[in-house]
Amino acid sequence: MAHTPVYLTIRSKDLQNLSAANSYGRMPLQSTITASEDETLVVKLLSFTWPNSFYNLSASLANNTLIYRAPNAISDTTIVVPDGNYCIIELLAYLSSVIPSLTDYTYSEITNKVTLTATSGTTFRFDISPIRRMLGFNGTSYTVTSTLTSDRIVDMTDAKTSLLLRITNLSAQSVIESSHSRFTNVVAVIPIDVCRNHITSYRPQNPMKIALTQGSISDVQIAITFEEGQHVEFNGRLGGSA
Amino acid sequence: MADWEAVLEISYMKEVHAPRHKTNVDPALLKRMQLHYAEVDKRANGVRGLTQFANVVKRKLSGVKQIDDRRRSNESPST
Repeated sequence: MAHTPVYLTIRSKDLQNLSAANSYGRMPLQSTITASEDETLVVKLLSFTWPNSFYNLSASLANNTLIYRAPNAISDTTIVVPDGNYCIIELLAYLSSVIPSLTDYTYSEITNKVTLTATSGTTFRFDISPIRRMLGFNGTSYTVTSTLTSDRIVDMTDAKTSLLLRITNLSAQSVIESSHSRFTNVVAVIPIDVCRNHITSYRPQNPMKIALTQGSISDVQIAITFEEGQHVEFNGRLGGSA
Repeated sequence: MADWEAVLEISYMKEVHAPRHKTNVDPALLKRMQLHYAEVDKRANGVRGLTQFANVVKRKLSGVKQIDDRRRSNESPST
């Protein structure tokens, strides 16, 4: 007789925490799910409800520093932008408030670029400043004579456009990631299509069907990551904490 | 606000061609079993074929009889 499917409803706050971020946890099963010898277990994501509560700019993402050298200075100064979810105007306002030689800034929605006005001789070390990607600059050191405009468009997502739902303790050979061209533990790719501080629900019409190479499941270790594999910091709780 | 929730489905897919757990079946025995079942299939098809042929003949004979009956009933006794 054919088995009926098993559905797992997984709440982050119920998981046993496996990382500092509340995006990686373990759900033990009271009863092991086992396939018979002529069956294969298949996993798919039916829905994922999540808040856009993670920061686009943070120390954990290593994208919140800007290094510059003031005119006539003999050393560089490092600006660390506090963790947060910034829009471009808010980011420029913060930078302007902490860099005395950055005298003005503009942002064009038409070109999606910024123009920085700085005291002549100010050097922006975008060659070693990861925040440059958000401001739309290439990885080059620029010494300003009067103004400096983005090389390319502003990208406040820092190229983080999707969440990847992974099940790290299950083995499968169904999905290959472009970052390393090998089989991976990704079960679903969830677009980040919601504004900051809002909640959304993703329900794929044609979910990926991940055939497992193992015949039983006794627990599920689930992780939400960005494309590069960084765990998403939802800035909340995990593991039954209040 | 920072909590998330996922719903996963775990289903069972029947393997038709390649069982995951292969048993240590003697290849010679496997070959004999395949030949045996092929022979059984062949005989079964043969029987089925005869039965179908018999049914066709029966229907045709029945049809001829009905046509003959209708023809007789339409004929006038005076002719």
